[in-house]
Amino acid sequence: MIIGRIDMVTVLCLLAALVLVIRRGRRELSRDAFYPFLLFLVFCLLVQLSNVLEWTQITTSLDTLEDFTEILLPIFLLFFLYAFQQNHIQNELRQSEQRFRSLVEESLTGVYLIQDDQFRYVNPVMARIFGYTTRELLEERRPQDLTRPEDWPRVQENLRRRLQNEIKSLNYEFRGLTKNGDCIHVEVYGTQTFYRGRSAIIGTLLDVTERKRASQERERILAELETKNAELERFTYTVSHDLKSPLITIKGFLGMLRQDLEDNNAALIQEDMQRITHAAETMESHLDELLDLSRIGRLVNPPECVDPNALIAEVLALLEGDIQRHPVHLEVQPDHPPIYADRLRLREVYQNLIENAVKFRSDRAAARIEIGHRPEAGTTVYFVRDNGAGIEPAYQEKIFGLFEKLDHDSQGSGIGLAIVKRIIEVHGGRIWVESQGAGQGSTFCFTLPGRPESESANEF
Amino acid sequence: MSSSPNLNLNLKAKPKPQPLGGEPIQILLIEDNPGHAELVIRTLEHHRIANQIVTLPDGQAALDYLFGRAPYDQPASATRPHVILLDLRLPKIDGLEVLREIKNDPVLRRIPVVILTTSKAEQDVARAYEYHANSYLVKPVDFTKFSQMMQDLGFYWLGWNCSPWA
Repeated sequence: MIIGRIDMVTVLCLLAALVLVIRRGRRELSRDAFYPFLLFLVFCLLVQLSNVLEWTQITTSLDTLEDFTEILLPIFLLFFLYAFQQNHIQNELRQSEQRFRSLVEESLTGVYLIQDDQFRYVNPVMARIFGYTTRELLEERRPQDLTRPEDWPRVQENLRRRLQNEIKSLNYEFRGLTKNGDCIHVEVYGTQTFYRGRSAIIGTLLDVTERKRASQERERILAELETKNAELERFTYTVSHDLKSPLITIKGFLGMLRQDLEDNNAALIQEDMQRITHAAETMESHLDELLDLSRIGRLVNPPECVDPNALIAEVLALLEGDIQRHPVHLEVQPDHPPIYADRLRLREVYQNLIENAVKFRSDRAAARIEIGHRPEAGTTVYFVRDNGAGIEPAYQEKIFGLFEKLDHDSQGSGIGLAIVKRIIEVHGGRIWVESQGAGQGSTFCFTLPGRPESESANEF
Repeated sequence: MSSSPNLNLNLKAKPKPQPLGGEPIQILLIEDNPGHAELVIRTLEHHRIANQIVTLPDGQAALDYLFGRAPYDQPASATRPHVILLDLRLPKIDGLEVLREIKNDPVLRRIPVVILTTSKAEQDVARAYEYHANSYLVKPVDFTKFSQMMQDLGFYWLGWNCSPWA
């Protein structure tokens, strides 16, 4: 009876093992392991059951079998546990593989593997960034085809350094080339790895074109803000100085007038009243000019492609009277390349420069004014040259300042060149003067940027 | 653009503060605004302060005069003012630059330089003192104050103050 109970326990254990194998084994064991286990357990169960139920007619042969199963069962169970564990690990591995694969395939960034100057793997995003399919990249394109030629030497060097393990990983930006020839900015983070036993590079790639554009835009706005601020400061400074100055004169000479009246000095009364009138006039013109200047900050008209030749002819017609009154020899070079600018403002520039050239014409030699252009460093320099008064190198910056005049007696208020400079700067250009010094004549030069590239091509 | 030197010598007024050696007390006025220059000269004369006021219209002329360069070649002693009244916003060479050059010269740096300007701008005041200005005066708009300031200025720098050339 006792023996029978022990056998019952064995049978129950076997039943439990069977349930376990059927429930979990099908999922976690491979088919090759699952069925032998199942068969073996059923077999052991049958043997034990036969023992319990005392099927005596086959007892003799069963005795040996029972011994046999009792020896084998623990070994078998150990093996079973081991297989169970192994399978578990493999499953984990497969799942993790799957996780990482979908991570890479569905990644927001491009992922690539490069070996022997060929893509060995690219994820769909990588292909999409450059406008290709993954197959095209793997079979038809090399890294060089995706890089702007100017940047390729740098990229090539970076690839080499990682392949030869000079550096473990590298993070840098370069300009890429898409299938339809657009330039994009990409950032890569690449690491040396091994692929089929040899050195390779695995990395991620991010399309930062938008980010770049945004940061460039931000920098441009910041710079603009800074100039605006500086301008505002200059403006307040000028207003506080140049507008206060005539006030001092006016109030001062009013005080003088009082004294003149006490002294009954008629001649001085006349003179002092003259001073007051003059100061009031100065103030009035300063105010008008300040308003003019403040208007330039906003481009009133959208920039267009302007033909300078026609524009110069227009300005000369406008200044005809002024030019004819003075003996000036005028020379206009033909074929000025077009300028992309606000037409009216550009006319103002030419008008001011030509007026200045006439105003400060040579009084020694025959006065000459030359209007022309010359190519320089990939852009066109437009100039107005005279053989007149000239400007000492030390003053060549100063003359563009607001209300700055080299000579207190010279005509004008010192606003013309400030306006010209502002117009050119608002257009993103540069203006300067070339002169050997006093009496040596001067050449006022300016350059303007062409039509912004973003409008003509998808590049910047 | 070679303008003839604009040299105003006012030798008429009788000075109240008497120089020791009997040599004339010279004020160098560097001012580009002819109206302001005349105001300064006339108020100084009214208070009988200086007996010689030299007026120069821009920074270049001022430096040429002080350093005895053409067109002002004259003995150095003749160009040693007792006080320099210097405007800041000047044509050609800026007032601050003139100040810097004066204070860089081992002899000229002794001359008291009084900045006389319309600008109250902080950076102007700061930079003027940085370049060793001796005083910084803002021209008052009100004439009574202007006149008072000229009188005080004259009495202080030419009366009470010991001249570097005495």
